[in-house]
Amino acid sequence: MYQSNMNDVLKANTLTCEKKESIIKTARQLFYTYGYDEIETAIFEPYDLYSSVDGMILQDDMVKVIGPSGKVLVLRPDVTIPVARLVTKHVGHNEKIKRYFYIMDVFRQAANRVLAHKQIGVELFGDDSTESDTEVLALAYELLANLPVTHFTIEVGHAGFVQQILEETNLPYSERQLLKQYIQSKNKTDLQTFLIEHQVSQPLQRVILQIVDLYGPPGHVIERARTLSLNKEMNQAIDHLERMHQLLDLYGMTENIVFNLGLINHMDYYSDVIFQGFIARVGEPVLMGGRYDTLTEKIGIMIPAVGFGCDIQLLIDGLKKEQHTINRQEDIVIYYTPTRIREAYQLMRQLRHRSKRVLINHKEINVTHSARAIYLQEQHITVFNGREKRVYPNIDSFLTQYQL
Amino acid sequence: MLTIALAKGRTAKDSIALLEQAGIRFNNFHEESRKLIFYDQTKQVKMLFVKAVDVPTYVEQGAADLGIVGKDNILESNGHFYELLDLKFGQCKMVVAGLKEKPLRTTSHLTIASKYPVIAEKYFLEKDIQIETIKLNGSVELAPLIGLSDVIVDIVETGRTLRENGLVIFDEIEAISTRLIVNKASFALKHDLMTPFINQIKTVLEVKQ
Repeated sequence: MYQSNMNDVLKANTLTCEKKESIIKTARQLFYTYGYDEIETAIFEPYDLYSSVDGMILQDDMVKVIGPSGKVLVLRPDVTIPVARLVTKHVGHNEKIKRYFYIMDVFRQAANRVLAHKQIGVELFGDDSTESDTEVLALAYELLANLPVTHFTIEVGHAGFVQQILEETNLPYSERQLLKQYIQSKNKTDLQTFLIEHQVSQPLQRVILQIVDLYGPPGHVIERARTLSLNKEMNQAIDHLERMHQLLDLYGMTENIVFNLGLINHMDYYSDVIFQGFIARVGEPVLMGGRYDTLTEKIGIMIPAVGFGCDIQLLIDGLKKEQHTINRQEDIVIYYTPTRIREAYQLMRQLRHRSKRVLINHKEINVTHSARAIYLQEQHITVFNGREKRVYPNIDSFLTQYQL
Repeated sequence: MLTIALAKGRTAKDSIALLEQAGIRFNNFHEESRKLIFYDQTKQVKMLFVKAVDVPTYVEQGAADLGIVGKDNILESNGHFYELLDLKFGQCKMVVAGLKEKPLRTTSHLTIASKYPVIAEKYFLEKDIQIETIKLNGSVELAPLIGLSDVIVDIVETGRTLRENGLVIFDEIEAISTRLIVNKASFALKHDLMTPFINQIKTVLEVKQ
């Protein structure tokens, strides 16, 4: 009993690795077709680098290690920040667009253990156009569309739009955080109480309460958002989203997109468009992204940047059950009588060159063990494939005549 | 199908009644049942009958698409989900209470007994008062009586338990009522099912008012 459970554990482990690999393969192929190159940053980074980027990552959340000289290092706590840092360091102001993707682990300190998440994502630097925003969103869309999941939805919002409303209230920082919390949880009850208590003007109250309901098909949301706009910046945000919607149409991506103007990503560094991807059977966003021009500014160089990242484990959780078994060929097992050892190795090498999964059995000659087996005997070769059994005079005749 | 997590305990009857008014009936449901999962007549809604404190967890994790639970448990969970409707029942207050003869000292270190350590810590942190919290799971009123804590943070409906134990309210932290919460992914992915469901409940609430 215990034995078979152990076996299940190992099988599940192998299966997870295979699923992970297939997701990475899909992503790599896709990113390649959009002209993105892979980039990697150091696993250990100086702690100081993150203490200056205030508010981005909680210091308690980082996994710290003491280096040999007593310097405090952290295990890569984020992907976007180090990639942005690396790129801004080596790219001048006026250089052309840079497109990168990454497949990296991110480490966070949880209550009593360290969490490691494998993240995949893309970053596009050096362009702040709507076209670039849409390109990254389209890439996110296509990634989810290419995975074997039953259903996906991408919510698109605008951090600048919400920011403008917060600024209109003239509330202090801590109160704004609370307001943001109510907006993103679509909590109209407490939102209303809050607005009355803080004596926010009637017209502004009305707008804020309606933001919560700006959710649904893009065209519909844009139309309603226009009636709520309070200033030029908000108008621009709406124009921007409308243009993105038009461009998405050119990508052929109009299904599965929802606009949610109450959307707020918990990472504070997004400045304009933001989006989150959801897949069936996973209770949290599997993908998050947006434009984060303010982050690059904080790091040192003002370079426009847009990107997204997603957690591979969450994607694995959402893969369809029937897709779980990846098309894997069954092992071919070669058996041989001792005198034919040279030919056995020769055959093994030739089959592996043809990308076959081949094992060689040195111990026993009990061919019935495997569904696909090749038995090198004194005078001839016997090939077993399921119930089929064929005999060949030598290796060459087998290789030319038989398709395994 | 939609899955809804319902809090056992003081708000269960009202929750079931509200769903019934919205046209969602669970025939085989009665509170004493040992069953944990119930289906409505049309088999469109699956109901999980769970401990109130666990409802936010079920919803945040996506094990349930929706949840009906008190604001007290929502605040305590700090979870990420939508909090769409105030269902207006199960109303009570989250308060700081203690012995009349031992008024709240705001200058020194306090020991708080509570079922809600997160809420308690947040409240006193904002007031810059250092506290030590003792997590209790029931009969919290006992703690100040036997000197286990200086004060308690708990919900109060009528105030009878406090009075009978010689405790008084020092401060009101927040008004509590029952809320409808929704998993964010479900909201995005099952919007077509979710919208009519929420609208039905909204209508019932409007009629009640």
